[in-house]
Amino acid sequence: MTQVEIPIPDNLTKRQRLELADLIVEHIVERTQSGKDRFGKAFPKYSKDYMQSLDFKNAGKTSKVDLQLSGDMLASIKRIRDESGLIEIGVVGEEEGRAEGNILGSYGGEPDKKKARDFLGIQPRKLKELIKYVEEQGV
Amino acid sequence: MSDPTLQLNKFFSTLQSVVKAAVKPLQMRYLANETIKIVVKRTKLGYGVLDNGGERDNFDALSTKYIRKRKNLRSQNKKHARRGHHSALVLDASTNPEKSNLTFTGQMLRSLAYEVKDGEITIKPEGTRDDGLRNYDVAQWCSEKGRTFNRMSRAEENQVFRIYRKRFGDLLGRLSLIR
Repeated sequence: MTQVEIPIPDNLTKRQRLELADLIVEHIVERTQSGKDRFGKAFPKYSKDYMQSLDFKNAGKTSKVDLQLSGDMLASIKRIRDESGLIEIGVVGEEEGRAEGNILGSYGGEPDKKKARDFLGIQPRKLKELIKYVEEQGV
Repeated sequence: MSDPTLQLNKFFSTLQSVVKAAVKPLQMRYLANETIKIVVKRTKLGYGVLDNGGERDNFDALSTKYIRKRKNLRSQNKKHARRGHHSALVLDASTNPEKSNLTFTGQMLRSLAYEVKDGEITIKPEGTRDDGLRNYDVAQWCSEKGRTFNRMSRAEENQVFRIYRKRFGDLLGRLSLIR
């Protein structure tokens, strides 16, 4: 749930896979910070209660949904593994629970699709662009 | 363990090996400021970090007696404010009376500043407070009581790596690619 396997061309070298994985992670962070989910759609809005909470104010947040309170969850997205034809990206460790809560819309309770903020993934068009970039760099 | 100074030289050495480039002094100062913002925000959210590169952890719960004291102070502050009176001691607006976030009056966290001296760059609480105590000593006391905050967790180090890469490093010329 907090990891995603991304199919890639078989012929990428190890260095190209590492470079591509890094770009995918950075893209996911940038896109999430801009308020969009893995499908490019806007995240569901924050609840009124949450926006009025002290934590929300202490984190200096605005109404823009960017899945950042401390910033640790997005900072914990990483390449988990890579092999010929595959890269796996995800959140592991202490931020995993938080990531799952966002992806499922559970937030400590039952999953709720209406509240889900699925940030972990990449659209095919964007992936193609990053693959082309890596191939053209001659890494 | 109770020294409330955050030494950044080792972190910058790691950053340089990660980004494979020399980090310039002006860049280090910028990153030191960003680090202060991250540390203050995390602390106000109620978390500390015991060791650099480690994980964050909730601060220990406050005692019932102390919570009652803070709630009383909050009520007094509100009463005085309504009457247009001055309060000698004011609970900071970012403080939840029931939660430990090292923000009583807010002076200690506001005093965090970086210093460059003899080639070392550090972040520590500075200055003297309204009550005559030094912010450094208050931070040290907090740490001795198990509330160490002036460290960087692994995730926070990653946050600052990313800030460097986007502002000065390899991602600066590739922002349109990753957006």
